[in-house]
Order: sequence, then C-alpha cells, then structure tokens
Amino acid sequence: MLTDKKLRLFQLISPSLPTGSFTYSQGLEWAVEQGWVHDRNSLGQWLASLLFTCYRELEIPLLRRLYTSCEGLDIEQFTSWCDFTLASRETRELREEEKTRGRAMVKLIKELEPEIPEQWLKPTASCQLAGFALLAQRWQIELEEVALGYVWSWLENMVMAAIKIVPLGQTTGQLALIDLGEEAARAVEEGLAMTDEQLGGSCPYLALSSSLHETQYTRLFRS
Amino acid sequence: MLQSPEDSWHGRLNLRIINKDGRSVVDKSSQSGPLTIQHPFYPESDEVCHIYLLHPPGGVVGGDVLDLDVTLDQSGAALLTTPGATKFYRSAGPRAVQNQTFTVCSESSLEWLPQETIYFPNANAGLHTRINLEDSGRYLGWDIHCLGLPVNNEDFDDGQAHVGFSIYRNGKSVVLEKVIVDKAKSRYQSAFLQNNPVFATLTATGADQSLLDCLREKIAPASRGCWAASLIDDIVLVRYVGASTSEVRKIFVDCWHLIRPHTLKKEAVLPRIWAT
Repeated sequence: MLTDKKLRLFQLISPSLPTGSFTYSQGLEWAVEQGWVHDRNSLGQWLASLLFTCYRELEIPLLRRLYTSCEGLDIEQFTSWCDFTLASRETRELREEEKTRGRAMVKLIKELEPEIPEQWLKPTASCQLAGFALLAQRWQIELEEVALGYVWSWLENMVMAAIKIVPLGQTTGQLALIDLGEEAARAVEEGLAMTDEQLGGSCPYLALSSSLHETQYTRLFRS
Repeated sequence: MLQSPEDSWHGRLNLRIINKDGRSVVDKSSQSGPLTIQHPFYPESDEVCHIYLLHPPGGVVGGDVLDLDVTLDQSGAALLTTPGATKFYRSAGPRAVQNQTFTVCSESSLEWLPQETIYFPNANAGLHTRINLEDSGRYLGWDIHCLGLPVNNEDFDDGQAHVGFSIYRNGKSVVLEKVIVDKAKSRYQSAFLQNNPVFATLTATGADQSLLDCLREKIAPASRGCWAASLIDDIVLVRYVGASTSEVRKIFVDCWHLIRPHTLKKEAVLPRIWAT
C-alpha cells in the first residue's frame, strides 16, 4: 500500500531541503586541486573510502543512535550524541558546516513540526545529523530507509559538487552514482550494526584536505 | 616475536605532579608492571620538570594492557617524553592496548612529546590517548604513528591498529578522533591514508588565529608527505600523513618552537635526550 511516509523521506533527502547542503564540498575541492580527484574513477575512490570509513564507522552508527534516542524520548542521550558528532568533526570548516546546517534544520523544524519541544532543538542547532534524525523519526520513516536516504543525499551532493569542480559531465556524474551503489548499501548495513567499541571514522586525508581548503585561493564551496 | 597470553602484562603507572614551593615535583606515583620513570630533572627552570618515561621491555605484545595515567595539579608543569619508540609487536591474536590518560587541572600544563609509536607488521594494537582538561589547564602534545617498518620495506600486512585521541574539557568532549587501520581498508585509501605508513597529530590548547597564521606561514611544506593545520575554538590541530617519521618529527618540533611561547609563555628548550 502506498503511504505518504516515503514522500516525507524524499523530501528530507532532497537537495531542495533548505539547509544549504549544496554549498559544501567537505574537502573535495582541495582534493581536486591536488589532483587526487580528477575523473570518474578517482572520484569513486575518494567517495568509496569515505563511505567505508566515515559513513560505515561513524555517520550511520551516529544516525542510528540519534534516531533511537528520539524514539526513546531520551533527551540526555540525544544531547550527548549531538556533542559526540560535533566533536568528531576534524576541522574548523567541517564544524562550521555541521553547526550552520544544524541551525538551518532547527529553523525548518520549527515551521514543519512546531510541536517538537524546544529542549530537542537546542542540541540540534549545532548538529545537522541530529535534525535529520529528529525529523525522520517524527515522520516514522524506518531507520534502514532513513540511513540509506542519508547516504544517498550525501553522495548525490558530493557528485554534484564534483561535476562543478573537476569538472565532469552530467552523465559521468550519474555513472559515478551507480558505481557507488554497492559501497553505499554496505556502509548502511554494516554501519547500523556497529557497536560503540567499533566506532571510528577518522579519515586523515579528509582532515588534511579540509584544513587546506580553509586557505585555498579559489573556492566555490564553503568546506 | 610471539608471546603467549599467559606472559602478558597488565602494567600501570600513575603520576601526580604538582607545584610545591615553586618547583614542579612528582607528588604521588604508583606503579605495577614495566612502565616507569627516571628522576625528573630541570634543564630550564624549577617550574617545569622534564620526565622520561621508560618501558624497559621495549615493546608491547598481544594481550598486554598498559595504563599510563598522569595528573597535573596545583600549577604543576611537566614535559613528558620517551627515550625510544613505543613498539607494538606482531601478535598471534589478542590485542595489545596502551591507554594514556592525561588530566590537566586548572593553572597546570602538560607537554606530551614522545617518540613515535611503531606498529609492527601483523600487530594487533590499540592506543588510546585521552586528555581531560579543567578550566585553564593547558595541553601541548603529539602522537606519531608508524605502520609497519617502512625503512625495511615491511608493510603492516594483516595488522590492525585502533588509534584514538580525545580531548574533554570539564567533562565535555571537544575533540574525538579514532583512526582504525585494517586490511579491509587497503581498497579504500583515497581519503584515508593513501597507503602512507606514517600519520600524526599535534594538538595545543590556548591557541588563536594569529598562531595558526604563524604556523601556516613559517612551517615549510612536507616533501615526503603532507601537513596541514586547523583551529577549533582554542585548539590548534596540526596533522601529517606521509612516508617519514623523521620528517614529521622535524615539522612538529618546529611547530613546538612557535607554539610553546604562545600558549605556555616559555621558550622551547629541547629535551637533552633528543640530541642523542
């Protein structure tokens, strides 16, 4: 049976969600400058390594923990995972991105779901991932679909950034998205099963790229 | 070098360093197992004690757990270093773990400037560094990690390393990092290590934008890797990934010369042991 729950998911992962996700490249702009990313294949390698480490070991496990904190109405746990998320952002730009998008999320949540109590919005204002989890849980979207959707929206955003920066053709971008399907599904499946002990996620070259992006001479993106 | 789990250590070293009548001294220490220290000495002033941390067995094997716990209190100031590399030897199975917990209370400071940690081929290692800061407590330190034995052209093979670093301020997490290296990642290197054996981070609290600008201007680019710095609140993070522990050591010592006067109001005085 068709329900409108799926539509809420599509809304949440759409680039038209007004949180400005399309203005960030998360170090990709520097990776292109260095030549580490220069075509479909090297873009795929950059993104696959982030899926396998950042997404599988950190983003997806954190999304799950934030989502289940919402389900359990556990504001303390929710706040503590918000702090954890922000503290895991390795550079100033990555932190600013998390916070700026978090504030945009809160603005949106206030309009879309005005009944969500203020105490949940306070930690969300510095953590976009928490805003995503909060709305997804509010809209009763299944966790697995939420996680897959989250990964998809990130991937699409990165590939769109690469199309502008490298540059790549639109069709090449679409092919890159198809290339990464298997890795994305794996990141979600394994990421959802991670125990606290298994959390990791640090990618040293991402941290270097993002740090160096801060002083990159010509930049289109904010991270 | 293989060793059965029955021979494994659970070693502990707890130190508390305070300023007593103008001199930083080890006020309390307790030890079980192989980790120990030499007598503190004072190559610059009574204010800062320099301490060499010794690990006579020379390395950590599968099953070993070593806990190093150092607290700086009552305006105590210490510079801790190690005379040789920390080594995680190859393991037949169980993980060897070293936990380094540094607590720096208000008005106190700690410098943690060890030699590199070497993860031998096929080691199974966990190294967890946690800095607890209270109010105005200051930290300046680095950890340098080397996977395998690149000088002998031996890579890390099937080794596993869990390398965690965290800073908590008044109990709240402000920096959380964990690099997990294992064989499965050999296919996913692009944003990870790009197959380099050496990665390292230097961290200092009490920093600001002018210090960050100064590091970016004065420290030369790496020729055998890449270094970069960022500033999160008052914490400067300098990271390196590359081929050479001696290159990153030089970069970090250069950074230390610039950071120390800025955050700790002291000129950098090289520990004598580094000259040998």
